[in-house]
Amino acid sequence: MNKYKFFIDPLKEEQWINEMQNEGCRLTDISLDFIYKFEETAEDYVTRVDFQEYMNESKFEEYISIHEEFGWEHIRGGRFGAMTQVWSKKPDGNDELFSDRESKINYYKRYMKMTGGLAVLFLVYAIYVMLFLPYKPGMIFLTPGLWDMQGIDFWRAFLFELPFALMRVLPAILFPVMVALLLIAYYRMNKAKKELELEN
Amino acid sequence: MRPKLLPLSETMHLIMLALRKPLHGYAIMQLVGEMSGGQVNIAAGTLYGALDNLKKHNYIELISDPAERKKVYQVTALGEEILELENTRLKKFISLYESEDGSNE
Repeated sequence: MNKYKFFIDPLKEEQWINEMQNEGCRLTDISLDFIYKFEETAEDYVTRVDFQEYMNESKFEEYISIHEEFGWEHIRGGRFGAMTQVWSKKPDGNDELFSDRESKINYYKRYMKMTGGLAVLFLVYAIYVMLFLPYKPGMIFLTPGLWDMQGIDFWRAFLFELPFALMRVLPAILFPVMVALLLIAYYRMNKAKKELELEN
Repeated sequence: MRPKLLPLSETMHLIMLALRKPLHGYAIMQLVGEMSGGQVNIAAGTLYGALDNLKKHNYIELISDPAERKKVYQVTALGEEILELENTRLKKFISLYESEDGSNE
């Protein structure tokens, strides 16, 4: 069974996967970051999400190896720090990835660094595209003399450039949305981190 | 100035003590559990983070062949020195506890 979802917030991702797994299925794979594949099972599974920055190959091997020694199955995650690391296991009482506050806070910090960095990057780009948004068709289509062309010549040039023209407009819509989503994830992580820091 | 990571956190300290002999991940967790009388139960992510940090500072090293699935670690010569420093520091602490007036003698 496939479920289509896209998460920027790993806390929500983890919660959602575990809720799904409480209903008699288990996560087997995540493709393209939005196709969550579940299979039916009578057994219990618990999933935990981590985030790691770029790891070289040998570090990545260590990362995988140590978790597997503890019974975790690697469901998703590469070594380039682009997406979260998703780990599943059958619950046996040691069902957390982090056993002290410091290491859990470090996980939150790593993720906040990533979302914060991306948010700034997207924000700069969003401001850029909004300020310089080509409102006039002549600024979206860049083919010289396009609007003076006639008949088949016009349509050929127009259709040829259309995908590029759309790409010039799309960022103006997409990037502010991305900034908002990233900032929400950042805010939630920061809240979770503060709660942890206040404990004890 | 004190070397980095000193004084060692409880988790790091126990891991370094465990790694005076070569051990792989799960065995580190078991030995640390034993040494702490069941008080410190290290999870996989926490262990990875601590090993990575200690390795970065050259206090421990990966000694298994890269082809091996199980990764084996051990303290380095520098790591031994760090443990020696911690040993001295903690002995001083104990003498502070045991002295009545709180002086160092």
